[in-house]
Amino acid sequence: MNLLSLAFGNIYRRPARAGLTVSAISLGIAAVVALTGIAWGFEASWQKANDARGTDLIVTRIASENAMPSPFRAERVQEALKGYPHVQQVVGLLSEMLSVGEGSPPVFVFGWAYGSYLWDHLKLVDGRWASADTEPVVVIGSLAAELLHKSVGDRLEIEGQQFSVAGVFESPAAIENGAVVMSLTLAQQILDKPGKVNILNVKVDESATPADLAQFKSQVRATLPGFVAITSGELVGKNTVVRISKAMSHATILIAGLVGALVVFNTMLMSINERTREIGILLTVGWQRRTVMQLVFYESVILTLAGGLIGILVGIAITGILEHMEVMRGKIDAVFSPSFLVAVVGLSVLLGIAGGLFPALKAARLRPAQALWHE
Amino acid sequence: MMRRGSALLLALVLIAPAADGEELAPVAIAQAMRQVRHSDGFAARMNITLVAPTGQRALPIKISIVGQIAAARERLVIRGIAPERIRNRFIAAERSGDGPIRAVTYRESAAAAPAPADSFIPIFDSNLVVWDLFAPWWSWPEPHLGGSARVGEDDCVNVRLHTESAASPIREVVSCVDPNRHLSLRTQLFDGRHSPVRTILVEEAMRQASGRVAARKFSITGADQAVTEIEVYSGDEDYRVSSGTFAALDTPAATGNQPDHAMP
Repeated sequence: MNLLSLAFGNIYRRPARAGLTVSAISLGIAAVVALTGIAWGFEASWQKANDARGTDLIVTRIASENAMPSPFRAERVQEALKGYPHVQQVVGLLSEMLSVGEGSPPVFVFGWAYGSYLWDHLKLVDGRWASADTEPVVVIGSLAAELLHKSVGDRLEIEGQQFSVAGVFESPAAIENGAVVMSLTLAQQILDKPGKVNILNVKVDESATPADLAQFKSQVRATLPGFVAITSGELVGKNTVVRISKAMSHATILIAGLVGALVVFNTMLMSINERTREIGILLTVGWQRRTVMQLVFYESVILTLAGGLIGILVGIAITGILEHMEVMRGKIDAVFSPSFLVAVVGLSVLLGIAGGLFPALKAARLRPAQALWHE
Repeated sequence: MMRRGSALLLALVLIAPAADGEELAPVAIAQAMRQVRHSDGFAARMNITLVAPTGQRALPIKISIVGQIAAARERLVIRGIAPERIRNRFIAAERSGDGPIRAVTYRESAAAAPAPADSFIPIFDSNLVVWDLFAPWWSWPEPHLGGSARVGEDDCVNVRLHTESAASPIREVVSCVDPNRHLSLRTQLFDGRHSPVRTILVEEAMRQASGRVAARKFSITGADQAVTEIEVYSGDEDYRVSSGTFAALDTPAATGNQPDHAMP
């Protein structure tokens, strides 16, 4: 019998305690996995939407911290940006979270400049695109069509105005799939924000280098006071909701880590106390103290590893259930990268080592004679 | 070195109460609250839900408010967005200096001329009242402090304001102001017999791009315990006011004499 199977055997001898310990750890890990997956997914979804549109840089107001920056008058800034080197297109975007029709859940309504490159990444699955800038029609994402129970030809009431659904599209970004898209002119009209946009999307030519983009950013800072040119990643990073959800996930990791380590510490300490005579016998028959320590470490790491693996599965399952709930659909697009999952497994092992350290030292320091007398 | 440190500490101790005292002077608070409302043009859209004293909730209505506020003149236009029964029904109101508030109601159709309205009319059957939107109590003389309080998670200082004008149905207002954010967290309005008429309670605030803090979610509770829940879902603090925005206020109906105090 090797050391690993001995460790498994020791855990198996106390199934109730081992089960409780694994459950506690798996719950903590599940919370970490679910919250972090949702936080990263939220960030990734916004970034995916910006990247899918083919935008190289975004120009917006410096003070913007919301999911969508505050609207500003685009004309002067847009004209200035068009004169910058390598710039191909400068396209406005206006967005608002609105309820469309009585009793329906709020959805993102995007206004994109008609005929601009922003539309190119959408795949029309039914119907048609708008045929003119001011045609009173919208296209809706496949998820929005499902949530709003709308199809081509149906009517949508947005901010008191009637629109016909001209088409249904699919996008690589979940946020867009759950959105209603119309021309920028129409969006400005219904929101009473003529000439205003939340962001200006800048597309540069293929010859532009990273140094050119850096130069573009500096030029915006120098010539357009109050505005900033940033990448989609930087815009998403400034988003207050992303910051809060990331902070919550970090706090959960910390709390789950501390609780997990304490649970393992407690379990292993109790186990060592109960097995004092047994450890004394092992030391008497010639086991080295290092081997005893190794045995305790194996046991604690097995417990946390099992908790970690179960926790990952539970966390993914919880997120999957949340994603499919009616109220959350289209709002959560959790991301579980392999590197993150490996890190969670690493965290589990670390918990095992941290929680088992003192019990292992205690076991290794036992004097065989005293241990044999232990009741 | 020690002496210099002690002198600095003493100076700080002497300065601190003076600064606090200055900040919490009721006149200064009232002036700051008037000042913070100034805007060359703003627009806000809000969902309004009426909750009956029985707890029954009505379907929300959507309205937009466009305003321009300066010391000399304040103008507002309220437009119904949804549902159909209030769509494109307008209320416009104006106040010059500390004068009376004049209001008109009209519809989008050019055929329908604006009609004079009472500034105390509830906006589309809610507890939101045109008169309250002008917050005229901040111009009332001799405001005084009524001690500190806590509204939700936030500390605030009560400012008591009253008017001797027998014509005004609201005679006393107690506003609990967060002096740092210049935000009234709770505003209690009383009639001449000191009976509560309604209470406006801010439940959620937001910092705008300009740095100003504004209410995002608030409720208005009437004397009958009916509650109006209001949530601002869209805003523009840099709204471009056009020549037509307040045109209804220049019509004969609006420029004629109207009472601003009669209850509906």
